[in-house]
Amino acid sequence: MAADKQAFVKRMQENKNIIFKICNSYCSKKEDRDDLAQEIVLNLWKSFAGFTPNFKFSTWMYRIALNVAISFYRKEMRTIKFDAYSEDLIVFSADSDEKVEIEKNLGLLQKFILELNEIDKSIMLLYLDDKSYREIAEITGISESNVATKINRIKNKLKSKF
Amino acid sequence: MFMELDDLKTIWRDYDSTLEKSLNLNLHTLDLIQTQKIKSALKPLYWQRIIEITFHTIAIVLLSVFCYYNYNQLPYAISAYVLITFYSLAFRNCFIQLGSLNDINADKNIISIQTSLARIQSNSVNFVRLSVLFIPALLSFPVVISKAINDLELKSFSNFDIFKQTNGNWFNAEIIAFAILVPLGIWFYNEIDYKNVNKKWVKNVIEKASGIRVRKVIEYIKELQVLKYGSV
Repeated sequence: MAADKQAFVKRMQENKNIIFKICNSYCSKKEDRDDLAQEIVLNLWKSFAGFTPNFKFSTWMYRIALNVAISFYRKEMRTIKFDAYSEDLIVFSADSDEKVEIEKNLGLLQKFILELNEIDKSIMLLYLDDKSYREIAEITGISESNVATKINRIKNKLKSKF
Repeated sequence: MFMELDDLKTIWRDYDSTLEKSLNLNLHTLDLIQTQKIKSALKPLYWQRIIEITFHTIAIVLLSVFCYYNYNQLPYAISAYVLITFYSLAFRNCFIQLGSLNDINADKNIISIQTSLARIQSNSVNFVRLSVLFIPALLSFPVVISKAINDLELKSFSNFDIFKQTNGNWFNAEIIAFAILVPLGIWFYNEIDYKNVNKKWVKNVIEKASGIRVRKVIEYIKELQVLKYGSV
């Protein structure tokens, strides 16, 4: 089990960006973001034993993480408000947070994603991460044609923003 | 200005590489955050119990004063003694729960948190059993209150005398209520037990007795176990 945990931690560090981008797209508040990140890592850990190398790790990870994010978003799982944590799960090295925020178009894009509904958010994230329509369909559980339709709609919405 | 999706993908890729350099997942804090979550979820329970203890203490003091002045009037005194017994048991229950909540606050280890939580749960179940058993006794309240109003000569409430209001039929009504509610209360008291947890309604009552917070904390503890040991 210890070896599994080590392997899991390594995988998480390799794919930390996925967790952050999902949390950032589904939660506007920092404390919600940390709660969701924790929820995602926990669920990934629970399912890690069932992961087989036949699948691409990022696809497997996206599928679980997006499911958790969608139910977090829908059910507003934070029915109980928690005290601020003494340590954060997601941390930035000094002065880097600011650097990420500087790019104006990135800010607009993040705002745009935050305003999308929970399914479109996941499609947009996967699309921006260069996933194929087939992969997006596989992760989100909707048909490829439906993915194409939704991406077209998102593109039209985007035109009005950028 | 209109940007193509490909341009946005480029921005997104740049963002990704910035994150790669600057972002860190503090995975070692997961256990700590989960433990904090448990304590945080239980905090309001602590204050609820303090408020309940205060309320029960006031009730016990007032009823004791009532007994002192009416000890020679048996029906009133008995009614008050029954109520004092109920509030004393409720007080004891809250006090035990408060102790368990304090233990959780001081503990770091899952097993002792689970033990304290089990104590809170069984206490909450006991309180529900007790409350149902005492429903007939709580019917004594109007008797005690109307006597207290008379003793205190509160003019504006002088019409509130349960015996006058019911033309002296209060005791008859109470005897009938006792005859129905006492066996029901005893039956409920015996049924609500962990040994009957296989019955769906008993399981529901037991689960709901401890409230949503304790149920949530039990879930968090299971998660903490998964985080620490990989299984529940």
